Amino acid sequence: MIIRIDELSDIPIYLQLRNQIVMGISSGELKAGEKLPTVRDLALEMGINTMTVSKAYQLLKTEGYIMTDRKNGARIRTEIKKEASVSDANKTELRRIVSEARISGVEKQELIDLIDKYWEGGND
Amino acid sequence: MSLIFGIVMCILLIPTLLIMFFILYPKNWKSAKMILGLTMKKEFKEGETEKTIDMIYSKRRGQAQKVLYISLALSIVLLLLHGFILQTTLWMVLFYASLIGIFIPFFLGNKEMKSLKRTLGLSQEQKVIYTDINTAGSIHTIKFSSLLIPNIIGLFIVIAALLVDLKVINVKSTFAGNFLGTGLAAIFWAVGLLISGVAYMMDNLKNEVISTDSAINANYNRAKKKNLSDFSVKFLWLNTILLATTFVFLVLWYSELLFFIFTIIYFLIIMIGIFIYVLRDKKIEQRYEKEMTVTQDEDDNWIGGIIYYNPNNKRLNVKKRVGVGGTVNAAHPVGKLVYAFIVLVFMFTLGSLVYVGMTEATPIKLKLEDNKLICHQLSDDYVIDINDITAIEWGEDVNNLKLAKISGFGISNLYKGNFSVNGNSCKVFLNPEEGNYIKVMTAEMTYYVSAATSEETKIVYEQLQS
Repeated sequence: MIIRIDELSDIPIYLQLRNQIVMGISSGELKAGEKLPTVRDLALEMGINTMTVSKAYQLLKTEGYIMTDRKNGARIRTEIKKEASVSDANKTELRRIVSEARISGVEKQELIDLIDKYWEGGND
Repeated sequence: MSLIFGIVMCILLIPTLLIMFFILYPKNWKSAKMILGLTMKKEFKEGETEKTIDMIYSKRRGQAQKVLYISLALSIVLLLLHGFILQTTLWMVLFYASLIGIFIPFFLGNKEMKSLKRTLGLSQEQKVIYTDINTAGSIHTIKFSSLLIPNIIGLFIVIAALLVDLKVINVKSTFAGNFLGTGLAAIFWAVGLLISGVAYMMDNLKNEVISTDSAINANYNRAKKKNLSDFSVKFLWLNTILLATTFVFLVLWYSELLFFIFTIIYFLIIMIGIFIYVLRDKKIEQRYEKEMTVTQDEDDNWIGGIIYYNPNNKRLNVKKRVGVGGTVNAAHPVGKLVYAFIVLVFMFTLGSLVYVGMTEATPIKLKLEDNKLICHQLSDDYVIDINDITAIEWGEDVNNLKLAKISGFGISNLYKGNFSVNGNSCKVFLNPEEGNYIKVMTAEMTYYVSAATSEETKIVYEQLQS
């Protein structure tokens, strides 16, 4: 799975990393039980601070996407808790995206098609 | 000696320049991954832009070609020159000038290409890092044992040479005790350690992302690293063989000629090895050309397309943009130290050449002043109190002595420094072209000294006798 980090983005790097790992789990690129690189290896490979990777892993662990232990490092959880509802934060984010799309003249169907595409695990 | 040195320099310089020329300036720029240090873009191969780039590229390639031809011609001329110091100085100047010279058109071309890229509106707007999470930190091809074994063998040889020089092990060698073989063996061992360190660093280089398919990325990076680790391990073993050769021909059985022949073979094999490595690397690139779907534009982080400077990247070592192997991030604190060290080595080499040149050109002086025997050249090298002298002897011909340099100068018109004379460690201050010398003995040390001419030496000898 390819991680794409934009150094000039307003979104902090740890959050970009967290988001892409979540997208990877959703699309099936990262499978349940799959081992993630160690904090040190990933930080060295990406050329970023180990604290940044550690922060992303910590967040993913808190959110229940990954599990970590000293012996095996970080792995994708085999059983990810299914809330079956959109979180308030995501609702706000989705509302922002819909609003921006409507202002810029995007058709409703176009947005729905895009959601369908991403739902099926498609990429840009 | 001058001819052997010239041959070694030719073996080092000519293939290096040829390899650099073909890597920096491939014949067909359109099929290359990079052009003058910039990432290739499809817009570069369209209409008027293609013609402009054709013009820039052929001009810069032509200039580099001239540098190459001039350097090759000068190498041949230097081979015919006489005088060790003059030849060494000119070789070093040619070596540096050629290496810098071949990069200058590249630097200038890179600047022109960056300007063209801006005009085309293709400037690097995003600073995007691609990382394959499946290959991160998992592709390694070098085995620790393959680096450890040759270094341990090397260490044993250095210890053996040291024991011979310390006369703990007795061998029938006239030059045992002069530490020349031990010194050189230790240098080659240090080179081996350096190769191992560099090989380890290269094995830990960031894996390139060329495709969205992790399997392709893994295979590509494994193939590239395997090629590099094979070359590094063979280079390390070759270095260990040269180390053993040093022990045999400079410690056990003294033969400078055989040692130099082996040194020439060593450099020849290294150059052939580099050539094979480059060819294999090119083949890997060709094999994966069609799979390359991800391109990472980092043009703005490369000064002149050669020096990597990226303060946002915490990595020290990065893969070279053009050429083979890796380089260091000049924005990294250790990277800054590495560049400072390179500049210091460059300045030290030039400074040493000036010093050696001045030493060769300045005649030696031997004089008696204030009850002291003074050996003077650029400064007072040795000052011997007359009262400390226990005996003096007149020597007819320096060439009858078995001299081997331990440290100092050993050139046609000057022997100066610590030498092994007939197996004993002594201090020497001689003009070997004149022949006559004075052997001066004190309780602590024996000196072999002369003035610039035999007449002057004779005068000082008579003064000492009276």
